[in-house]
Amino acid sequence: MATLTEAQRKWLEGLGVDTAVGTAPATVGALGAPGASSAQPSAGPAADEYDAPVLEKPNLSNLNLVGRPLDPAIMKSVEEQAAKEKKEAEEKLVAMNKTLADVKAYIAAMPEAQMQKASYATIMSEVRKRFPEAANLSQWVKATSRKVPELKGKLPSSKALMDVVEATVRSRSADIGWGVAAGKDLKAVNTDRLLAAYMAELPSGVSVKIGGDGVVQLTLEGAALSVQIPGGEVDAKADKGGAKIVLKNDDLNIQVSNEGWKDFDPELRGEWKKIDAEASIVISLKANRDKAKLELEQKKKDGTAITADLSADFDKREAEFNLAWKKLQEQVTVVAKATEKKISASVAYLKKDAKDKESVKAGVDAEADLQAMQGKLKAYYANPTVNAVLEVTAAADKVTAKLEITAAKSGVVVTAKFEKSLDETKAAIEVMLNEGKTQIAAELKKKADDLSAKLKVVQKTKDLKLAFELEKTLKDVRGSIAVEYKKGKTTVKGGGSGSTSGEVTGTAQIDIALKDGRTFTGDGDKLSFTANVSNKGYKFEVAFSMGEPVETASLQDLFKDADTQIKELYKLAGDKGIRSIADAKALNDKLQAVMKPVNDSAKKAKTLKKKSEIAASFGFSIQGDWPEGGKASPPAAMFGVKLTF
Amino acid sequence: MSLLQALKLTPPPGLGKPPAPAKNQALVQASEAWRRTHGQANERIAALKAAVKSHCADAHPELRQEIEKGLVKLDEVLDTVDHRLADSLATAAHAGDEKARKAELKSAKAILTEYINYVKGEQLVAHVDQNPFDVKTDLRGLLVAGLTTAAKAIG
Repeated sequence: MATLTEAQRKWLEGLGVDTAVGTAPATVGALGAPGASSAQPSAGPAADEYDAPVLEKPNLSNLNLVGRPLDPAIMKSVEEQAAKEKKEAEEKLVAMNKTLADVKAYIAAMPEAQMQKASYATIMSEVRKRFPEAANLSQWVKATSRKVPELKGKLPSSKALMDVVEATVRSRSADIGWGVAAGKDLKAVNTDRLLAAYMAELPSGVSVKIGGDGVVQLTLEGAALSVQIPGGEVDAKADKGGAKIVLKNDDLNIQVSNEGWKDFDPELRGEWKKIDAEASIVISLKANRDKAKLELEQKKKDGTAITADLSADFDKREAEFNLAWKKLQEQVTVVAKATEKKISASVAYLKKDAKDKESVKAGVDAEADLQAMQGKLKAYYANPTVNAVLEVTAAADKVTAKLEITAAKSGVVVTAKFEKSLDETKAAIEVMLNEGKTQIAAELKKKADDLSAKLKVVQKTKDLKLAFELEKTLKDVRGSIAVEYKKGKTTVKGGGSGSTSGEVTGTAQIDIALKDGRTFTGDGDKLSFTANVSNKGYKFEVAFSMGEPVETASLQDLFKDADTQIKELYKLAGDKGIRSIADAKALNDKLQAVMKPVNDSAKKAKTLKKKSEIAASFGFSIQGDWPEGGKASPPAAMFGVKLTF
Repeated sequence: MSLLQALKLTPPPGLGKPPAPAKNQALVQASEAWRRTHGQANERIAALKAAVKSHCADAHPELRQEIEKGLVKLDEVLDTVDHRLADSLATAAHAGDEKARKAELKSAKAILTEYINYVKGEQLVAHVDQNPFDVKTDLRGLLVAGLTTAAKAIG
């Protein structure tokens, strides 16, 4: 039941398509028909706003510019793009340098007792958790030095995170204590260094561990990619095996589309809610800190001995509070800036048409609320306290909540997908009636008719709560149809909007393969890998001996390739050609071909053999002998079907 | 290509100045970067075509045929803004001497200019980006970014 909007029709005509051909009354037949204007557009500009560009061949006669400098006017857009990239990189550089300073401050403030028990690896693990942006520093530095070469001299080293951690630990002489504790177990010391170095340079999603047997194991886990599965199944048909119902239009969403509100970001309110929650945490951390401080002061006053534990506990609470408070202040500054900008734009939009008195009034109200929020912000900047933050969040919530309602009121309710799904559901109920399931069919028909009536109310009132209820009811009705047919001979098939991350609804071999899962294994001399992929998610693991560690650049390439190719595997579920493959072996061959670049990348991985190479590559000194190398077996397979390279 | 180049021989001293390795590396990277950009643009156009076809899957067969024909016109973008730039950059990177490299860079600059003019002036690129089928292509942005990288390498 595809319907072309006026904008889509004009766009196709812009490509020379004669949209008048064919009659197709039941589907795209709405084109140019009197009822076409009442169709709800699902995307793109409204018909009256859309001007299809006139396609003209460019005049290429003046392009023979060999030997002449590039036209400055032509290069303007090129330069603008370069300037934009440079500006973004410079801003990120400031943020990255600040993060490195925060990392340093965090380690410097770590309580002594905690520091004594720590190691490079545990500190790095904590740093990656607390400062996720630092975890991707190495990749960012490499990418930026390629994209904006003029910043090369200003960028930190790709090993900067490890350098900062190591330097701060050394400044506190903590490593000497760790060395003493480790005694002659130099393997433990070296393992700790290597672990921390990998953590510092590998992407944040990759976890690292080194087993007692000296095998380094790196793991990347991810969710299955949601893929649109091509439709094409009939809606309802009967054959010798019984009736078949196809419920493929599973997208039941009713949405409010509002082109004029592009500048208003509905997530702003969510950002302020987050800040509000963070502020409550900061208050609780402050209370903990104050309690510990009071206890400490009381003991000093009484002349009671102050134990190291008590002192360390206070230091820890103080550091936790300082860090959280600092982060909160940064969040307030960023979100406030965005809020002021976006709400000002929304106010201007509301006030632009003086004739639209309701809109102008909403604009004036929003402006007043914005000013109230700015007043609270000013007070907060003058005297930054957590209570002042809470005052700001309350004022921000007020203005953003009102704007959300205004945006919904002036929007257009888009029900096309819901209607499509409802029509399909009604057709399925008809089949049930014809099959003699009269009682259940009558009940469901009543619900479906009720949905049609209420949908008109939603279109008129824009009542999103009611819309949500309708979505839920339709889902329930469709569920009831499926349950009813599972009892009898009739089969229910999903399709059109299925997803590899959800229930497997189709019967194509690729769906079955993704449901059952596939394991891909590469078993090289230096490095082995296992990729377990199914519609529940994927796990890509790499193993190699610590004795011959793999260069981080090679690992970065390998994980990047694995991520790309695994996503390509999921995309196969949306490919009509692949879906038509019925032979399991042919399909497995295809799957293996998609994963081949990962195996190629694994083969290319460069390992470090000599102690001097290892020290130079990772930037740390090595105590004693480096362990011997060896072959690491591929990590565990999770699925019965294994494809080995 | 000179005989020395064809035989992969280094020119003897005084015969030709060997090109700077850093510059060569930049040209190789720019060549690869353009191939990636082209690949991404291809994927985006393919996604748009798939979305249009999927949207019109239930249309009258004649109209579907018309649409198929119309969508072929989208290929013109990448038939014009093609792999010649990457090939030229790679040839310049592997040139045997400075003179040969400069000559090839001249060709690369001409191709680049042609591409920039096309991306800037061709309505078809804007048409793709303005599609009302809910596919965000940002083809112009992607191609401009790719051309920026190439322009920097050419110098």
